[in-house]
Amino acid sequence: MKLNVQRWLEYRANFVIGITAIVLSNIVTVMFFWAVFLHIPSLNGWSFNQLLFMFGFWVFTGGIWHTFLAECNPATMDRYIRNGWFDRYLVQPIDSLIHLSIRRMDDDGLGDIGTGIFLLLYSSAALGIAWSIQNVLALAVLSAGSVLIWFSLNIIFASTAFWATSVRSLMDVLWNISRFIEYPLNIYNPAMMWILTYIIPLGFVSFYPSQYFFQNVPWILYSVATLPVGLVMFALAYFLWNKGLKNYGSTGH
Amino acid sequence: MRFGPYLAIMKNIFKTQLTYRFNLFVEMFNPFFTLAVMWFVWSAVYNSSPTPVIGGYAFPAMITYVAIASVMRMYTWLGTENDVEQEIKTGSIISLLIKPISYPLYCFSRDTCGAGTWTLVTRTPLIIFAFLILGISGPASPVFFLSAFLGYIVNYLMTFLTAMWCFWTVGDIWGIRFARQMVSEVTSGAIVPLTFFPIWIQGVFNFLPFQAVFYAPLSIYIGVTSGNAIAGTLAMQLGWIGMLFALVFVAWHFTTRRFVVQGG
Repeated sequence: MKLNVQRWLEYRANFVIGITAIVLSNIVTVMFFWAVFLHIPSLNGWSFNQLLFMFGFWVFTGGIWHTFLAECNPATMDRYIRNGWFDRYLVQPIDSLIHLSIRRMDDDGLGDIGTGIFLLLYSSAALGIAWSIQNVLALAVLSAGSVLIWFSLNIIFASTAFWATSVRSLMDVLWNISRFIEYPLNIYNPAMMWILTYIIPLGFVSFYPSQYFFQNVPWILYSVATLPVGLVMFALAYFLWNKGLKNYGSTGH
Repeated sequence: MRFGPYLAIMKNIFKTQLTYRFNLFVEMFNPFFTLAVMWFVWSAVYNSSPTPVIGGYAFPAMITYVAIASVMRMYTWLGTENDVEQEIKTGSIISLLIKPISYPLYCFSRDTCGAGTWTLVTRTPLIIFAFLILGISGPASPVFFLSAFLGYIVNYLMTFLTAMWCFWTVGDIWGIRFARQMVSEVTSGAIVPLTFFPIWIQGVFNFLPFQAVFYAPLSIYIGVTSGNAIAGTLAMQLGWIGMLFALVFVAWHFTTRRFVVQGG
């Protein structure tokens, strides 16, 4: 941790630029929302502030992943395995997955965390959502579930590097499917909603958790399932990772 | 006759080809995700709207806008800045600068060819899908293609200006490049037609070169800009090209002078 702080000071200029870039990218989405809401009263029943809340929730949890756990992704795994750097992790006593994931703290992600918190505070104030002890605890639990889901998806995609030769393009796929998280789930058709709830549970990354704070009776039950879904996803991801690890070790790339 | 080694070679080539094809395949279908999201978003927006026309665009026109913008955006994700950064870092820039050809022109031809081919190859499925399945309409005026090309040049000049920053700074250019692209996303009309913004914001955007890259040609495509207004738009684009070209020319002059003096 101390070394990380030192690095921060050395690359302070890059740090500021990186954070600004991240914040700008989030502003772009918010501006899109804003421009659209100038012309419509609500989006399928959702108000501008509710959209901000849901987006902020995703930016916040995505930011936590980005800052602390992002090293386990298809692009990094692709590079590591092709260059043979991954073998280093096999001889360490720490689990290779954990070791790779927390290898480096990406300070850019702090831009996401900051923006996320700002959006959450702003929208919750506008919506009259108070940050009682109960709500703060709920935020912690739901965020944990959300981070686990996105983390697991990255692990699953990254694991393919154990079998295939070049998987870095899957990074783009992940980025593209993350776009589904930015909007309320009920704008999608029933089939899509089903897929995003039960197959690739992107709905639980931001939409369903947010329902807890909105006190939306039909969906609030789903929000409770966020952490369990996260744990199940992680178990799946971990299982896949280990399978790939075994395959990698035996074929001796 | 030992087939062993040859089999291994073939297997390797097959793997490389497969990798290349896999990456190409992924890149071809990536835009479909975003298009799907946008389809649902805009459907919901128009469903929630009191009027069928928003910001001058009806739903079919909006889908056309989004689809065509998606194709156009491909050729703006130029690797120029990264290439220049790499060439400086590896030192190969020196041999390129000594050659009698102009370095900026060299970059331009290399990147335009690359962007053009890549756009054509990876966006063809999207174009076919958009026309056949989504039923988007063709350009309201063939001048669209000219305008799109002018928009490309405006974008290229801005990219090169950012790329020249590599000569002046030691650190990563990633931040500046990303920032420029983000500003461009909103102000250029790549995400949403500029007519959605309040008039005063549109006024601000009109003073920036970014709208010349996307919104100008797109509005011609949809037909929002038509007739005599097209000439005005083209003139505006040419104006930006002139201004940016002058900027690049001057900046390049100072950059090469400083670079040469420092001895690389």
